[in-house]
Amino acid sequence: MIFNTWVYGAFLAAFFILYWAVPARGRTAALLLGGLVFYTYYLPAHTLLIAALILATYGLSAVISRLKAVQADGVPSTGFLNVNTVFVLSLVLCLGVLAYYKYLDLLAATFDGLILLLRFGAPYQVPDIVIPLGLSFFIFEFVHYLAEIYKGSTPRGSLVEYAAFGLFFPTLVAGPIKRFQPFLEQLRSPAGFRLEFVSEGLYRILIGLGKKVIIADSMAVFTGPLANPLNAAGADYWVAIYAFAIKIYFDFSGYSDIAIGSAKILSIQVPENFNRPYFQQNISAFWNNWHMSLSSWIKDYLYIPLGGNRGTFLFTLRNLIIAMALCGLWHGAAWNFVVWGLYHGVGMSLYRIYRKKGVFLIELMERLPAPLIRVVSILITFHFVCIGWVFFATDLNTAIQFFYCAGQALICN
Amino acid sequence: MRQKTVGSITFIVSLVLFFFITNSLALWYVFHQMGFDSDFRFADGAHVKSDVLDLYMEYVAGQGGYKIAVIGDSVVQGAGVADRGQTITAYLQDELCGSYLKSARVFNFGLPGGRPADLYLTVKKLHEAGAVQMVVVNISYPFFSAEMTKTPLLYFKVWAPGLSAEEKQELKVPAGITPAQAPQTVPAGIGGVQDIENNIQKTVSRYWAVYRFRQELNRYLFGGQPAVQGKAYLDLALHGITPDAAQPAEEPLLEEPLSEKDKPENRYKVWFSFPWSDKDREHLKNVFNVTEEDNVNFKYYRKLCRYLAENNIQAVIFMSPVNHSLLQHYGLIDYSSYADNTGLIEQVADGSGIMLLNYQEAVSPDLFHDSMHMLDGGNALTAGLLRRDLQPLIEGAAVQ
Repeated sequence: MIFNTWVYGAFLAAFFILYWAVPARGRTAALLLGGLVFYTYYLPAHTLLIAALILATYGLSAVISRLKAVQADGVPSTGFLNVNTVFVLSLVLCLGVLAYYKYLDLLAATFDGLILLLRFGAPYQVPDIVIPLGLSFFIFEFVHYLAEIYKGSTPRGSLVEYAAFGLFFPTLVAGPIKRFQPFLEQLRSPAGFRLEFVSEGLYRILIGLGKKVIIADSMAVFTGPLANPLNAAGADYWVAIYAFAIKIYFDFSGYSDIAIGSAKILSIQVPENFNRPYFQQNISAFWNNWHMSLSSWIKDYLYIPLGGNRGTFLFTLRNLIIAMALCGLWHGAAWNFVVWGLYHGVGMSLYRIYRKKGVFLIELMERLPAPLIRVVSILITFHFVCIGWVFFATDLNTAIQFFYCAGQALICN
Repeated sequence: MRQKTVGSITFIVSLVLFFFITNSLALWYVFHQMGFDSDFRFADGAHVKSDVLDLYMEYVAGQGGYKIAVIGDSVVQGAGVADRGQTITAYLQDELCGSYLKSARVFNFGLPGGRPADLYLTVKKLHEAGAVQMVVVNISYPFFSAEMTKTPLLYFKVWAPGLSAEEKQELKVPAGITPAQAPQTVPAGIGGVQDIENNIQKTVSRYWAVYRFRQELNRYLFGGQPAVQGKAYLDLALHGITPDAAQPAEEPLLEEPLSEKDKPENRYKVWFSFPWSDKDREHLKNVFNVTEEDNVNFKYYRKLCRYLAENNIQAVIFMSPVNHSLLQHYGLIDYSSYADNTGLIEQVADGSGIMLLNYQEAVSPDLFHDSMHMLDGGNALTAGLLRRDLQPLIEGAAVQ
């Protein structure tokens, strides 16, 4: 189901009644049932996939817990079956499913491109794959769960609780990416029906719908030059960039609002995803306030495991760039997304260099009036992000063409 | 805590009220903008969209008073007069309100070029919607001509969705005619998902006017979709491109040269004040010689009468006035066929127990624009006749 459809509205209304009609002890099962209906509606076959993944990851988490318990008892783990191997296997399973459904096409296209370049071998035939709805989101949630079980920092929960977490329909399609422990606590100590939660939830849903339908969808009228730069002139390029920046923010934050609001009317709190990202004064702050549930996931499960900032300054920059490139790839299976991620990685690295090495510049800046610095910083950050959106909005060739045409228009005018 | 609860209740109640109020306002505003509340008439001929006809019926159904729908072709629509207040229906309402039926509301369902099949389907739809208390059907003399029999249904796009395959074949509806679809806002789903969405969407549209009329509201309030308007403004500001220039001009329609009577300078003039071309005369030939059993138009006239009788619909059929002087002047009328045709039409109506009013000789030739479309005075006179002849029926219905 897609949020801005009438089917979702009808489903949510019906589920709301059902959820509050069942006794408190049955609500976790009701959530699971709701998730199954929600997911099955789109493509029944994919429900089997997500169900299988839930069972497999839960089973593997049980094995990890068991092995950890054995290890804690002082029995040394030997041979193939140890905590690390099982954890790696579980990650391979999750990321393998993600790679197969989402990235096989990109890999095959790249492979075919190389074959064409080297004039050697036969192109790879990609099977006709339909990407499961919300795949990137629920895989990341499963990975988070496995990692926390591996670290021993979260209870495993029952299978029904874990399945309700994995199939929680408000966040299933487009996040926010939840964390298991807070979710589990809410399942075990439910807040109960609260009228203010219902009104707050409805308010968020309405705001989200407004953002998506009234603002984001309208911006499509202005973004034409991003798809076809040759048919534009003068300020059209800037209009297109700003329009896309507005579109993507209102689209995604609108979706997040609907998700948060939908959860709220069930008295369940899910993480916020956006906090005025375009009003941040540097690119680091932008990422702390843009798609926050993903940013924190990337930090916890990619950047820190890569070494984070625990090594040399160059090592930190390397980690930053790798994490952001993978973050870009997560957004879409195409090279332009990788470039977009790298662009932000480089941006964040430059900012770190500025903070570490640009003491003279910082001192100079501090002599200027603070409101002026704030406004200029916001403008610079916003425009840096806006220019990056070109890579996000279109394929690499078109993006380059766009910059070329926009540059020409700027020089000629 | 108490404050929060009161705030929440206020918010939810405001939300519900907002939906109700905007719903009523949207409905009223769109109907008003479409002109339904001031002697509305279909100006687009066969290009009328099904949703406009549906909306008009919905509007009529929602009105109070004693409602009469006058159904017919361009004679009812008022093709001979410029002002919509000069149509038969406008005059009939004034006549009725000024005499024995103060609560009368008369609605113009004149479909320019409409054929008996169109009239039958209009009556059927009005009856199904329970929209009016009485229908007055106009039968014009050319309905059963050879030319019109070739295309017995003119309003393909309006009626095709509600027609059976058999009816479509009988009425020669071209294949592939589908109702105008609302713009697709939902991505195509998999496995029939779209059908469910469409059905819910239709249900929501039925009960929530703001959603149903979102395009019309945008058009009336902002002159179009606000974003598109914004783009047009930017194009003008940045490049000096006007919306007309941005859109490639449509290919000019290759229209036949206008006939004399339809030339702008001759519109709404009495028929003898301008010359009649060969084309005009040709158009009027052989219109009374084909009233036979196998004439599809006649078949639908029969069907119409049967439907009115079977459903006990309060109905009257009137044969609209004919400009005999013009037809005789150019030798275009064969009175033997004319008598046969009229007799057969009366016979079918009588057989179904429907009152038939024959006004074919009722209006003097100086009140016509052409052979059948009347000028202001002709419409007023016809409305007066209808007021007189409907009285027993309306009063009878009032007694019941």
